[in-house]
Amino acid sequence: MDWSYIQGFLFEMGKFVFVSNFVLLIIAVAFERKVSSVVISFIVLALSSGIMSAATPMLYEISSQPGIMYKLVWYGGFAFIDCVSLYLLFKLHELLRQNVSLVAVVLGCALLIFTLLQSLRFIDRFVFNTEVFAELYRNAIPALNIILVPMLIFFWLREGRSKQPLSQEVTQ
Amino acid sequence: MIVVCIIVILLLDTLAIAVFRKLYLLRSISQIQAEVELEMHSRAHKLLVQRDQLEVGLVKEAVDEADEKWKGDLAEYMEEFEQEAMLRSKKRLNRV
Repeated sequence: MDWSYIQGFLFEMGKFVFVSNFVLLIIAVAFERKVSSVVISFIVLALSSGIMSAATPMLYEISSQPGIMYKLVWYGGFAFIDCVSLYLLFKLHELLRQNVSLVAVVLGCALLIFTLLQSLRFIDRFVFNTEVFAELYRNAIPALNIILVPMLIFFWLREGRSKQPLSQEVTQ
Repeated sequence: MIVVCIIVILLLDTLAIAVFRKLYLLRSISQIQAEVELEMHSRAHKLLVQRDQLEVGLVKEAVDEADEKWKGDLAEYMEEFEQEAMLRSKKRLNRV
């Protein structure tokens, strides 16, 4: 399996990220049945990937013009959406008085990595004029987007299993 | 112009790191609350069992003494719970 095939696969799968995140949200709402940290996390995830999918053509059109400010719109735009999503994740937990689950921490960590990757690539490309992070940027973002869904499901199931009913804990 | 762009992008990074730290802090608080609540529940259950034993007359001969002891245990437990929660918060939240 050659590298270009993997890159093509990552790019194609990236298109389905929003759909998978949305399906995940529906499943979470159906299973949790009330507001919880997991539901908040999946709402934020679906919302951020939806906004990104909608904004990508517009950001691409703007950033295709010459000038560093236009290029900042692309990298900074995505970093801004990630940053706002991270803020929403924190604020919704605080407002709805929910305990922060491992799912929320993993999602927060992923959003932070996305933000850092955008800025690293911008600085690498337009400040230092090197291409050190080019490959990392091109492959890490779609790869992380794809593995994020199974990772969140894994932590959701793990946390669900570790939660024992209080009555059982007390009688032990 | 490039300096402005760098400042903007670094500002976003700083904001993202700060918000993530806040989220992590919120998780630590949640964990401490859940732990202490569970312990409180478990110990309260034991105290209630003692109370039930008193009421059904298992220790009829020393009802007053046992009742006093139970009240003492309850007060001690409430105080301990408060101190334990504060101690854990101080210990663990300083690291974040």
